[in-house]
Order: sequence, then structure tokens, then C-alpha cells
Amino acid sequence: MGAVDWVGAVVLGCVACFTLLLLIMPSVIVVAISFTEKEYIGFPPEGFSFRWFVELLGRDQIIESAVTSLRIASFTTVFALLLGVSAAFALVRGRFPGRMAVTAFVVAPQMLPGMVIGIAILFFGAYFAFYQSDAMVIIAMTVFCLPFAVRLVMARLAVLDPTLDEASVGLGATKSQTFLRITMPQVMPAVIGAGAFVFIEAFDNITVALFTSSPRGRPLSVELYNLVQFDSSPIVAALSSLEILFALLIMIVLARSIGLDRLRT
Amino acid sequence: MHVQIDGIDKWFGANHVLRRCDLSVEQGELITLLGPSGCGKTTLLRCLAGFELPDGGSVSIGEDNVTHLAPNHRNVGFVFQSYALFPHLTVVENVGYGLAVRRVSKAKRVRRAMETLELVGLQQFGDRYPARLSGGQQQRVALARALVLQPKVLLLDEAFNALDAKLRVAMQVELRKLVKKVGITTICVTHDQTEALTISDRIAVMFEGRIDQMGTPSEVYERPCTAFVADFLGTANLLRRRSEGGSLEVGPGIRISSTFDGGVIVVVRPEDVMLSQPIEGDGWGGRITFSRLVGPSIEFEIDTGEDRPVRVLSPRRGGDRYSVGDRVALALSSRDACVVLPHQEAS
Ligand SMILES: Nc1ncnc2c1ncn2[C@@H]1O[C@H](COP(=O)(O)OP(=O)(O)O)[C@@H](O)[C@H]1O
Ligand SMILES: [Mg+2]
Repeated sequence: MGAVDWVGAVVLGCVACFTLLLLIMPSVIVVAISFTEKEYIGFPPEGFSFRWFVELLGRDQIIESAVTSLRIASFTTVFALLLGVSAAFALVRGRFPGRMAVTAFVVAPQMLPGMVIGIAILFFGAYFAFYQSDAMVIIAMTVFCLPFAVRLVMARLAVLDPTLDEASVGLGATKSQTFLRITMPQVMPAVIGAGAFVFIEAFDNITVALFTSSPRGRPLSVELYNLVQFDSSPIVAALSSLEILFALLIMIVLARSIGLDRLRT
Repeated sequence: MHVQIDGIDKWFGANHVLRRCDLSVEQGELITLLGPSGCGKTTLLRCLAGFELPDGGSVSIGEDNVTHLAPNHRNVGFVFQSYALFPHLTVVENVGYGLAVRRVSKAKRVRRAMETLELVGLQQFGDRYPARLSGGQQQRVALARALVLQPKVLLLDEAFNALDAKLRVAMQVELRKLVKKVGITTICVTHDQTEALTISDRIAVMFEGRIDQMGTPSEVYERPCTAFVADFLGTANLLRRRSEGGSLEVGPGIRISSTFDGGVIVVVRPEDVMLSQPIEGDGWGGRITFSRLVGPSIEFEIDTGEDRPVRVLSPRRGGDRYSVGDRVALALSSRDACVVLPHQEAS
């Protein structure tokens, strides 16, 4: 037994180190490169400066696309949460025929690659003379992100004790008081978690955005993709560093407000 | 307040769960609905609280017919089997919840919650979250949360189930003292006969969606009116006999009177049967086939030639004269036997 435990610990340790290496190292390298003084991408970086960050902020096109991405992510988050939370309530608490089928239908887009959703919405939109635009990205992104929101909230709702609602009504609360004071506070961690997840996904997703965004108002992910193809300066690394910082900030705020362990539903 | 249930019927699909239940509870009375699991106790309690709508019959609390009133307008205190404390609220907030939804000011709410917590002995736990309380404490919070609203009736569904044996007895006694002090009409649900016998003013014994008998603990124990009630409360010998002309023979030489004629069941408690040395002749008796010590008593099984042995409980002193294999005579005072109709003929 002892020997087996020991071997298990070593294997686990190796896998953990390897995973850590694969996950963390590329990010560390990118961040390191973004502080280089030189004109080209190279590792290890030479010198230390903020020149690529300054240059980045000077490029109107990048700033504009960052604003576009923020706008898209915000709208997508609002729509995905509105639809996702209501759908989750209906699917968990509702009693109607075909509930299982509807559940399968709502979470189905999760099985599709983002590219497929992007192309499908592009073609479908063209049919109604609706073309590539922020609105189209938001619609496609909402479809793409909805299953995550629905699943997270459903998982939380499924473990909520329905007798808490009865207890509340028994104590004199109305249905809406019960919803606001008892149900929502307990579902909130899942809603916030889903919101953060959708926001980050909608902000940096490229497969959906590539097909649905307008060439005149590119989201940041598409802009970055173009940048990498035509410009291999460390500005790309600087942009990536900022995105990493951004995601990190969201995670920290999340952990502070609701606790990371409560995100695991 | 007075509670009156008249002919309540409840169906779940094709399952007839409550069958014309009647129940009348006086102001300030503590009654227990006692019955095996699945007999419909919870459903009856939920009909009273308004969580379940009966398919027929009526429910009145005080002077008001509340049959179709929503649960949030009934002012009935309900303590759930699982307590159903709100996990995201502290103890004080849990207890004050009913006041908060009635828009009572925060200061007043906290004061009343603390007063009620004091009543159940939890005043120092106000800031805790329910997850950090023991089972007994959680139960008392649930009780305080119901009592703070001064409800017309207090309903408790298997409130002691989750507690370990010792604590359970202590809490039962405490509950009885508390509701008597407050003077509130209380209906408890349990499948535990000891609990029912301990805490209640009266017991309603339920079986398959019907209330078979309602009476004081000693009434239902000593004068059960169906074989089911006799069997469910304590142990009983159920002897099949034929009654003719207003009397029947329990055993050779032992006649008791009966109000029914035809096939009946004679209920005899084991502790009411007396053992003695057999006398020559053929009195009621048989051979001891089994004996065991039960605390201060000895339980015997005596084969009288019927399909089931007669169970007898004798005091240890005196009872220890007999052992397995001995022939003994059985005696019974007619006062201690009770005649009921077999189950299928019960009304
Ligand atoms: N919501 C429900 N839907 C369908 N059947 C139910 C429901 N609640 C209870 N029942 C059924 O009604 C019967 C009585 O249940 P219950 O009142 O909970 O019994 P008890 O509390 O005496 O154990 C059981 O057969 C149970 O399966
Ligand atoms: Mg029950």
C-alpha cells in the first residue's frame, strides 16, 4: 500500500507540474516579452521598459476595438443572464411537458464549435438583410454563451431546497418577496459566476466574432488576430499582458465578493 | 385558537391520501397525529397550513373558514421536518424574517426576535448562521421563527426525528412546557408512539388516510377502538373470537361482554395477563415457548394452541418462577380486555 501511495504521489506531482508548466509558462513568457526595449519579439527579453504599453495606448484602432469588445461583452452578459436565469428557473422549477427536450435544446449550442454558430448566424441574417455588425456579434455570442449560463444557474437551483420557499410563504411572505429575499440571494453566486464567465468569453472569443463582426468595428480578438499576421512587434505581447491582467482582475473581484469555492456549483 | 377539520379528502393522482378526515382541536390543546409513515400525516398538516389544497372538505381556524386561503394569509406557524432555516440569514434574521416581510421596523424586529430567542434559550446565538448550530439549536430557531409571529396554531412535522435519542426526549419535554407557557394550539406529527404518549393532551391515530381514533393517551392505549390502533400503540395480543348474544369467551372459563356480534378481535395488553400454576382441569393456558428479560419485567410467549402465541409481561419478581417448557394458566380481568371489529369491517 505504502509503495503504491508513494508512486501515486509522484505521478500526481509530475502531472501537476507539467500542467502548471503548460498553463503558466506561455503566459509568463508573453508578459515578460511585453516589457522588452527591443523592436522584435524575443525571449528572454532585453532590457525593461513600458514603451510597448505606451505605444499600444496611442493606437486609436486598438483602443476602439477594445471599446467595441467591452460593449459586446457587456450586452452579451446582460442578455445571456436575462435569458439564462429565466430559462434555468423554468427548466428546474417548471412542470410542463417536454421539459427534458427543451433543456437539451437550450444547452445544445455548447456542443457546436463557435465557428459553426458564427457562420450559421451570418447566413441566417443575410436572409433578412441583416449583416455583420456589433448587433450580430452580440446575438451570436449570446447563443454561444447561453448554455454556460443556463447550466451554472440550473446546477445551483437544483440543489436549492424548495421547502425554503414554502417556509418563507408560511411566514407570511408573498411570492415576489420570497423570490427576492430567499431564492435570489442563494442563486446569486451562480449568477455572478455565470456573468463573469460569459463576460470573459464574449470579450476574447474569436471563432464567433470572426464571422459576425463588421470589418469597420472589429472586436479586440479579431484586431489582435490581424495584428499578429501583419505586425510581429511586442505590441501584441503588451496587449496580451493587459488581457491577462484584465481576466485576473475579474477573478479577484469575484473571489473577493462571493468566494471562489462558491463558484463550483 | 380552535381548529376544525371536516371531511377532508386529498388525492395525489390516483392515490387517495386523505379519506374524509375529521379533527377538532380545542384552544391551547397539544395534539399529536400518530401513524405509520406514508399514512398521510404530513399531507393533513400541509392542508392545515395551506401548502396543499384539499379536494373536498373544509378547514377552519377560530371562526374563519380558511380552506381556500393562501398560506401567507393564514398566520399558522409551521416547523418543517428539515427545519428549513434560511442558510444565508443569521439566527436573528431568520427569526425576524416573518416580521421583515410585514415591514416591521428593524429595531422592533430585532427586539422581538431576541425576546423569542430568549424564550427558547438561544439569545447568545443571534449572530450565528444556521450551518453553525447543532440539530437541537436549529430546531429551536425554527420554533422561535414560527412563534415570533404569535400564530393562531403551531404545526410541527416530525420535529424531533433528526435529533439523537437523549436530546429528543429532552426537547419533547421542553416543547410541551413551552407551548403550554405560550398557550398556543399545537398539532404535532409523528410516527413515534412513545413521543405521542409523552407530549400530547390527545392523540389522533391515523391509518391509511383516515383518523381511526382520537383520545387522551390513556384512552387510546387502554381502549383502542380498532385492531390497528391497539397494535400500533405498544404491544397487544389480538385474539380472534366469535361473539354471540353480547358476550364471548376469551379462553375456557373466561367470558367477557361485547357490544358486537360475529367475528371480533379481543385486544389484550401483555401486562394485563396474569400467570399462575396450572390447576387440574382445562382452564385457559399453555406451554411457555420463549422468555426474555425486558428491563424490570419478563416477557413470555405462551403457546395456547392458536396460530399465534399469547404474549405476557410479568414483573420480574414472581415471573422468574416460570421458564421455557413450563405449563402455565392464564388469567385476565374482564376490565382489561377490549373488543374491536376486524380491520376490514371497521367503518
Ligand atoms: N406531492 C406529492 N405528490 C404525490 N404523492 C404524494 C405527495 N406527497 C405525498 N404523497 C403521497 O401521499 C402519501 C402520504 O404521504 P405523507 O402525507 O407524506 O405521509 P406521512 O407524512 O404520514 O409519512 C404517500 O403515499 C406519499 O407517497
Ligand atoms: Mg411525513
